Amino acid sequence: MKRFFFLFVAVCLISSLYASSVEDKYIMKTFENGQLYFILPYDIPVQTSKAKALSADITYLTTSDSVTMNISVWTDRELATDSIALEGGERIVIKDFQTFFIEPEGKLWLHRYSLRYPLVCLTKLYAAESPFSMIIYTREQEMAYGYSSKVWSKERAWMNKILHTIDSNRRLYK
Amino acid sequence: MKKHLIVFAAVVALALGLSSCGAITDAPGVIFMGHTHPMAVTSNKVGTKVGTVTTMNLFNLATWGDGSVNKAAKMAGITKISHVDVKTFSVLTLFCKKTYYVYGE
Repeated sequence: MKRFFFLFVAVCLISSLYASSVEDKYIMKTFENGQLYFILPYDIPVQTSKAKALSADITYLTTSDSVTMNISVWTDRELATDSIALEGGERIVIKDFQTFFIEPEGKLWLHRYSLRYPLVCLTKLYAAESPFSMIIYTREQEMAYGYSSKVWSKERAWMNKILHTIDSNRRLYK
Repeated sequence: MKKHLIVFAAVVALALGLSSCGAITDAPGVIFMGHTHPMAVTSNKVGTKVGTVTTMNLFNLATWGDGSVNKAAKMAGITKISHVDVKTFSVLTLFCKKTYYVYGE
């Protein structure tokens, strides 16, 4: 029984090492004229409370200069969003975002949005020493999401590695 | 007797585990699974949008999550599906996580 327990713990540890590599955080597919990068969903916590974190995933085609960021936002009631801002190394305000759907999920409401902005802006946000904020402006309230200073270095490390990979491969198609 | 019961329980658990996590893969691993494999391909053009959904299974006693192609497509605004991949992560078939990637336009 003891040996079984230690085997289980060893497998869990090995699998956790497997899960933490940056290769596990994105997918790259080759297309005729370029490459598609998909950064798997990751959480951005609420800044001022312990409410449910925002979930974001990013798609980038090397034939384009813009990234598509799809975000899931959970609130306690249905909200009408006016704009979404990213504030960090620079400030980007996005007003022409797309709303995929709004639907109840358990006790909360799930809002799914799609926004586009230049890749260079995403790179600047993660190049900054201080963490950026994502602020969702609705008619009823403002919701701010962002990392704490404690976890920022770890979060920007894996994202910067992916952005560096993208940059290295973009040159192949220019 | 106790040893035989433990072995029997382990075999039953593994058999049950293989029936869920191992079912949709041609290379099930009893101790560890961490691989991605194709699930479905359509005749639509290869898409540039990607949607993901995840399901979880614990000790083969509980399974949760919406792993439908519809949910994944909805999350990415996909209206024409080109193909679907699935990534399976499993430890001793007692903990299993499946992530479905739906590609399309």
